[in-house]
Amino acid sequence: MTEKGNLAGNTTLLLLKLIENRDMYGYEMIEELRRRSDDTFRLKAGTLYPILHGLEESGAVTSYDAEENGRLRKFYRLTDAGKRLLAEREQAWRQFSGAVELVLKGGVSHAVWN
Amino acid sequence: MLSGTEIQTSYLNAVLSEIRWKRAHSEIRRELECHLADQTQANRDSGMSESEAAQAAVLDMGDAVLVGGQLDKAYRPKPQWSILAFLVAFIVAAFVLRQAFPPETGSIGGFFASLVLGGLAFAALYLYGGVWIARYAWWICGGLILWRCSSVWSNVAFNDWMIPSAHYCALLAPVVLSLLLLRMRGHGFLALTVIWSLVWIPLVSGYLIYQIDAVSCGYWVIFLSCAAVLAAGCFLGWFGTHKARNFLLLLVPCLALSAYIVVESPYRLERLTALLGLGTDAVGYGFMHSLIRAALGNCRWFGAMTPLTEGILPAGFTFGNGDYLLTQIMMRFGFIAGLAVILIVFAFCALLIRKCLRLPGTAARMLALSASAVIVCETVGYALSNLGVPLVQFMPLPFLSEGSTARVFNFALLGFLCGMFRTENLRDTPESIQSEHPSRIRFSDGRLTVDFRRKRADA
Repeated sequence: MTEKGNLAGNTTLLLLKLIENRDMYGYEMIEELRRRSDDTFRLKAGTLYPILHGLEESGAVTSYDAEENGRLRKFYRLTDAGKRLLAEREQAWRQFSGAVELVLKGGVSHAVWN
Repeated sequence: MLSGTEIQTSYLNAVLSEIRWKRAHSEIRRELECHLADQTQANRDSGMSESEAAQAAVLDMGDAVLVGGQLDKAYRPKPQWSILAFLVAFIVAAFVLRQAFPPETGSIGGFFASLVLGGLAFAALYLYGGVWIARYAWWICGGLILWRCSSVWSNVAFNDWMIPSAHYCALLAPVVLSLLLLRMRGHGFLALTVIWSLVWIPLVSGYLIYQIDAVSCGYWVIFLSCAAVLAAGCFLGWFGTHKARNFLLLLVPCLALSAYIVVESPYRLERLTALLGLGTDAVGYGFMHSLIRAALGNCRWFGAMTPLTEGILPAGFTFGNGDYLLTQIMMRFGFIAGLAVILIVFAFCALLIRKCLRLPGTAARMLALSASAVIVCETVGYALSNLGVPLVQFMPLPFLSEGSTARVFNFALLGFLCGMFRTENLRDTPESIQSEHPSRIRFSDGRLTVDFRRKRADA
């Protein structure tokens, strides 16, 4: 499964979810995404950073520098606006995936009332 | 055949060449370099050679042109149209008000000269202002002290002739203090003591020189802004010392000294009591404000005031355009016009404060707040003074009241603020604050080190 397949359009949701409970830096996000998706989602750094910087620009995430393992890293943190965006995206995704699931199962069976 | 490092450098250069905003380059480069180093290390751990690991890390990043193009969209400076619109409106209003209320002193040439000088200062700081200026904090501080002292020297050497702009350079003091705090953070109690002495020594010398001069009231506002900045620095633990000890050993005694200076001086005590409504002296210190109150008592909501009883205002007396512009507006056009001007300037202050609080990073927020504090203090002091509450006198109404030197400094402060807001998506980093060429003389862990052997990198 490729990034351009099922991941397309939902990268923002996944990234926001990753930093919901813990601040992370870019490389850590890619590794964590791969780990949580059982090696299914392999995000390219070239895709990740423009999205992160776009989210920072829109105020959904904020960043700060901190040292880890001897390197000064740029960590990303979810803001309140980012939490609201995550809730919206999560709800939209659940609706969408629920609808897809219904279609795959043959659709809703409507009872006829007389 | 290129080495792994060369491949990565070449890739980063290709990415950065797509990003038009040069000031963002160092930050983007640092983040991508860090990522490449992590990925290279992971590749090496999985059994690749050094060169293969570096090449694979670059391949993992994606196409340089596409990545650079995306980053270019995310990293653009923010022009600050709302502040620029306010500024243009203020310039037009200042000219109109100058024509409506001709000043007693100052020429139209001086007005335009201050616009040109202020505009140049604004443009330079708008384009290049930012936290990085903290690198040169000591130079800026030295320049400011020298400039301030020049008024005393010129006064002594040239028979009471005083460099006129020297008073107003105090408007820059809170910003310079913030820059020093950033520059010296983590340098311990000694740094804190040095910086704090820079605040209260000018205060005390100002008190000694101007103890019977109303100009010193303005210094009080500046001093309190500086004290607030320093207290914030202590509270944030920027000096790496015990916070309670900072407050007990420095801030508390110096604030107590300041309070003593107020209470000890009959002049300042008079102002304080006048503010609290405990007493006014219409023929002494409260002369101007008793006149303002009398005039405001005859003002109407709309239109010109009803004429004052003959004899209340001295013959031929007018309130100066520089210090009492709002009073004059209320006298000629009514309370509503004066209050509208006050509301517009306060709305502008609120806009500045809101933008300051939205800045990412404590350092940037503190620098911007210290610059905004000056503009807010000027506005509050001016509005109170023009409403007959004489706590602080002779502060300018930013951008509007007559006063060429103050206009230049206020333009510079606003330019600095806009420079910060414009580049808010570039965060401050230790590299941007600490000098690229550290001094040969260093003080750390109680030891003074002078390095004679090291050649400067730029030598």
